[in-house]
Amino acid sequence: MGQFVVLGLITGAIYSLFALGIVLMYQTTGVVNVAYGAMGVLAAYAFQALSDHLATGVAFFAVLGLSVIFGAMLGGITLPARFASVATKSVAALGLFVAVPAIVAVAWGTDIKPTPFLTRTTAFTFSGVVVTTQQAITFMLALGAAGAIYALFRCGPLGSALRAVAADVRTSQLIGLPVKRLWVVSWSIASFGAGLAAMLVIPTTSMSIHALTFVVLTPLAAALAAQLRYAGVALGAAMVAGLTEGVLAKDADWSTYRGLVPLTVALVGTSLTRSSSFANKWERV
Amino acid sequence: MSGADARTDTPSTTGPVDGAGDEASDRYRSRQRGIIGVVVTLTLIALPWMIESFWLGMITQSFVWMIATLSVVVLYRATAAVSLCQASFMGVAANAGTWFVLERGWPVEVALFTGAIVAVPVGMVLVFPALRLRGIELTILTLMVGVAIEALLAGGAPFKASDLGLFLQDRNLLGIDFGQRTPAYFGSLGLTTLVFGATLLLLRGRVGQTWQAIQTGNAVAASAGISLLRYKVLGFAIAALIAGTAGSLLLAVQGSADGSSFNVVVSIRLVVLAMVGGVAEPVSAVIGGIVNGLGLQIPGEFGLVGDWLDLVLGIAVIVAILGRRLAAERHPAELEEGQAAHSRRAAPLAIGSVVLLASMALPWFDGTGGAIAGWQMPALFVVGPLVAVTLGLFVASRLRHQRPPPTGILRILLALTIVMMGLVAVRVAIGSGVFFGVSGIESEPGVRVERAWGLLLAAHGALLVIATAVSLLLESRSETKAPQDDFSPSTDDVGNLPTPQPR
Repeated sequence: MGQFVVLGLITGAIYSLFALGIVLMYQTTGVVNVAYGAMGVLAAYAFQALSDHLATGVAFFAVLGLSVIFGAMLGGITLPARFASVATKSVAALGLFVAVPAIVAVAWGTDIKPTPFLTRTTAFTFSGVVVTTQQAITFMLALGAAGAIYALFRCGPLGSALRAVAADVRTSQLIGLPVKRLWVVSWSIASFGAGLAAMLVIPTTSMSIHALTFVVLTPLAAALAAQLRYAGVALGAAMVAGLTEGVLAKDADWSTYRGLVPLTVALVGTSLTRSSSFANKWERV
Repeated sequence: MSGADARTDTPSTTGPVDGAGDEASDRYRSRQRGIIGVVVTLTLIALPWMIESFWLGMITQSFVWMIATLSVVVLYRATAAVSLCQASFMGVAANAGTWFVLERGWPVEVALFTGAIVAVPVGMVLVFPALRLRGIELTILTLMVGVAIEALLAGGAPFKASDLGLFLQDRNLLGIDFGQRTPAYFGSLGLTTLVFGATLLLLRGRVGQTWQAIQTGNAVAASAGISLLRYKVLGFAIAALIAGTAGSLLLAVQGSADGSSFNVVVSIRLVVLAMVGGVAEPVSAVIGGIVNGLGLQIPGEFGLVGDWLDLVLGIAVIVAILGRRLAAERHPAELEEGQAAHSRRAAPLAIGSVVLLASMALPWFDGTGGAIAGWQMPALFVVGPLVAVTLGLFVASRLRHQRPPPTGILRILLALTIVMMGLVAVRVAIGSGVFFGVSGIESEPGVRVERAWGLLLAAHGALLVIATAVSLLLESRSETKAPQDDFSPSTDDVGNLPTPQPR
């Protein structure tokens, strides 16, 4: 059982990174990005391809850099959409959801590839439960990156500019903020988060396009539960969902019902966070 | 389409000259519609004798996907919700239908019909989240509902027929043997006509008008004594029934199915296909069905990765939605007058027909053009162009009545499209051997010619998509530059989702 709790905690940490990315992307660009997992697919496959030629660590950081560039490209292409309504932008993201995995399938084929591991050593054993170094790194990196992205958004001039644009694009433009550049920066940060989370999640899922595209469902449910604004709630919900899925993975019969977790998280979370007293207690992003 | 016309066309109020012009154009349009109707009907009836049985099967499957896509359209028209779980309702119907046959021993037609009915209460469950959530939030939740239904069906929920997937031995429905290609084709054609006819009547009738009134304004509709809940429930129920019918028909046509036929990937593809053609238009269900049934099969048949089409579709949907909505959002006044509605519909239709053309052109890219032989040719070159010509005429008629007229480049490209479609039709008539018994495709020069055609079509399609997007964006850009628009409130139509704001 302990092994599955560890698995759940790690899944939860990665889900938290995904969920925070979705919430912050909505807050800064107004896009509810269904394609957040799909953006990660490209990073995961690039990581797999590069790790054949480079040391895994080098490939890892190279792909993180490429993710930022890919995000900037997407941001550049979608610039005309920055004034469109939330619904329009979000539904258009469905196009990305279909197109990005298709690019990966055309470039690398649809076969399941061997998963690249950062390391295969054992970190420590805690009361009979083995924790690998990969798992320890994943846990710390995912939560660390989530914290860093959150801090970037909350503190400093870039954070306040991003928040200003999120509040009112047109007024921000009037007071001289570089709205276009900030839109591209938001996409870059989002793509960085998606790329990192995808590279970390492949040892627990598998190197398949379908699995990686849909890994975002549970984090999306957590973000929805947090009304796409309470970052803390999103992190908590993602962690609980990850733990639940980890525990359900213990039994083959239970494992089938993991598909019920996203809906449950979304419904329960939405009901709780929509109670009138809730908004006063929780800090908004 | 005339119901949609009646909805968006403005009555002529500008004087006798315009009135006479409108009358003439009405006559022109009704004549054009009549010709298109006759051509399509004759083609559909003659099809089994024109093409190979394999392709007839593919077209029969297109009917299934037309009905499935229609359920997305109907749900959008009824509740403004974009559902990403319609394929799951197909799955519920197919599972229940098989269960009634295998476990209860019911006659197969009764079982499949009841299966479609079983999808209705499942679909109505969506009403509960729809009362609390709207817009994109509800859309995302439907994705999770789809995954949950998938998990329940895989995990042994009620009506789970077998662990090995669904299988139907006897496929004789009301005397029509769906195991045979031609009867299956006519059976599916009949059911599709019935479902589309009933849906169009529904959308034009009292219920459809009430749905539209609710879309115009919840509060106004409620104050007029319309029960919002009742009509929302009705919308979800009817959409689920249509999806369930598609699920039952798929099982009848294929004889077998498994989870992958009904997973959320299929649901998302249905929505994307409906989006490319315009999610509120029943005609987009027809385009979507053809692309899903034929377009997704053809690349695979000729050794090309099917994902090419997903790539085209994904980009098309981004261009279609952003381009169209940006234009619409920048022209709220015209939207009210119903004029921008023409351009909103013409653009996605043009893109839809281009996607269709691009999907037909794809097989040439893998270099196996020479493998296309015999009776496969007519399927590619007769049916496709006929549908494309019909669509092209339709698009042209839309643009003809569009005010203000389309930009120059778009007009030239559209004219080019129609000319090229005509050329394709002529090429088909000569090259496929249907009319002259000549087939020059197996030879090496023939292959080169085919490849050139494919490239030409694809390049032209890409140009048209880009030109449509650019012209729509230019339109929106020119509006954005107007000083008074800088301070206009943004048209956020996402329902109760709060606009992002810092604390």
